[in-house]
Amino acid sequence: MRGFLASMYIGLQIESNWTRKWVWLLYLAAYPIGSFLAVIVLYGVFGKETGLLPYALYGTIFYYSLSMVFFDMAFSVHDDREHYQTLKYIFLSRTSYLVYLCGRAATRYLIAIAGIVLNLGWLVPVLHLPFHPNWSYLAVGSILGYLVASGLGLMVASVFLLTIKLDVDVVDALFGGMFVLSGALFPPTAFPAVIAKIAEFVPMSPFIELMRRAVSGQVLTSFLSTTSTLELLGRVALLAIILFGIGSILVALGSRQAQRKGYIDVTTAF
Amino acid sequence: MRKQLLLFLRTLNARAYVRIFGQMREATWVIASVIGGFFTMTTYIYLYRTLGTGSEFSGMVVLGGFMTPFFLNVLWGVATQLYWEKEMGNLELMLVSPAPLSAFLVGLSVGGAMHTMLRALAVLFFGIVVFKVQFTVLHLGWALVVFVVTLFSMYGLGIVFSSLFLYHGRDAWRTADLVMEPTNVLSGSYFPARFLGIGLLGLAALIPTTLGLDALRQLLVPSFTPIVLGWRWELLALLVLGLIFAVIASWALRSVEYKARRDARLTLRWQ
Repeated sequence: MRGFLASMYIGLQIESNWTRKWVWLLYLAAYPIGSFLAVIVLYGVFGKETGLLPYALYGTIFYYSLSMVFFDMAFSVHDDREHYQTLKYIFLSRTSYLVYLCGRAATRYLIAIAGIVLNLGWLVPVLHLPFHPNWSYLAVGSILGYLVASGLGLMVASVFLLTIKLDVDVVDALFGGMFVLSGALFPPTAFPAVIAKIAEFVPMSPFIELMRRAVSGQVLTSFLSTTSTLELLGRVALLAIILFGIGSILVALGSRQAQRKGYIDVTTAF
Repeated sequence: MRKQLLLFLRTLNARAYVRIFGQMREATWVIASVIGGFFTMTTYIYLYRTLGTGSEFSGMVVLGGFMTPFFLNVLWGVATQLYWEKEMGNLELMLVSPAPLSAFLVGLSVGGAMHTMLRALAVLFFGIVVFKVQFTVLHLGWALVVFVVTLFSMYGLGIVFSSLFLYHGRDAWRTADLVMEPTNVLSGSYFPARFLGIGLLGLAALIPTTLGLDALRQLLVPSFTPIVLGWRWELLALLVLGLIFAVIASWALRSVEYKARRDARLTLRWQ
């Protein structure tokens, strides 16, 4: 636990100590805007009649919270190895690398959630979004979301540990595909039937839909509408266990292999 | 004079070479960035289908998908490069060498534009084939002129920002991360910039991609009607913007070089 908290503190320092505290707080509030600005412009101009703005806005915001975790986990391998050149020291410390990654990502997730809360504070009244939160679903869903995203992030981090040439573009491509299919921006029912069916099994889909319902108190489209909220919660919990379990095993294996192959302190300037 | 020009061209060639061939060595980088660009394009095309807009929007999105890799290259491959070189410990060496910093950045831009071209063309190809988008080639010559001038202006802006980002260090890195998505939205990569309204449009017009994309859409998508200005005016504006950026970039680089040598601090890692 001490290692986890220390890693969270390191995460907070990396995220915030580049500027004054008040500037960072402004940054914290402004950063998520980039994730949903396109949604407001596009649905505001072209999609007023569709009534899909709440669906897309909530979907994009909650996808953003997950993306912060898996991008941070994947990128931190490169960042610690190449940029700060501290990866070898992390491996030498008593804290396991898995705990370190989870601690750093937890801070990133909390920062993302704080940014979301701040922005919902003005988005809900200004855009008249449906807002009837179920706090218990929101709280449990948030924790499970962190585990889902961490599981995915750990899988990518394990690959990054074993290669010194993979670029973060790979993460962009992987999660870009999941973004299209997860139904964050528009209902996947727009896709051909086969792809729409696949979309239901994308790891982020049930989490995003769960959080949409938890915050709006409504089922906003026909996507996953036949699944009850409790069933969605069950699916997210199952996914969290599976993904986090696999991710943890892969990072443990990846760490051992990376040490054997001498990839821990390689710098390439890629 | 001849010697200086030769040195400039040699530096330019050396830096461009690394950017072009270094990036080609790893196939996963090229494939991943093409797939990433394709997914972004797919997202917006299906979004427009969900919203029930006309087919011309698919062509508009594909052109946006073609230009986006250049914008990302300018931001992450040029604007943040001097800062990155400092963090890797190379900037000191570059500043003590006789090679001019401007040649280094122009080489970076030329190389960056060339290696991004492959990715952008691949995204364009997949967009045309998969989504059956049609473009008119009636004004292809002018479209190429607009494209080249847009790149000139975009990379000029990138060089201006490279000095600024170096000067401000980690703050600037965070700023680049912060402005990336809003700038992409403002430049109308995935929707007609005219819908931004006069106020925002005035701001967006300072980003060369905005006018460049609007002009390209007018020239290549026959049914594209929500234009910002006539494409000839946009071409002229891009040219003027490019020249202004070139002058500012040259001044900013000289200032950075002077400060780096005087204070002996700007080039040190983690400062």
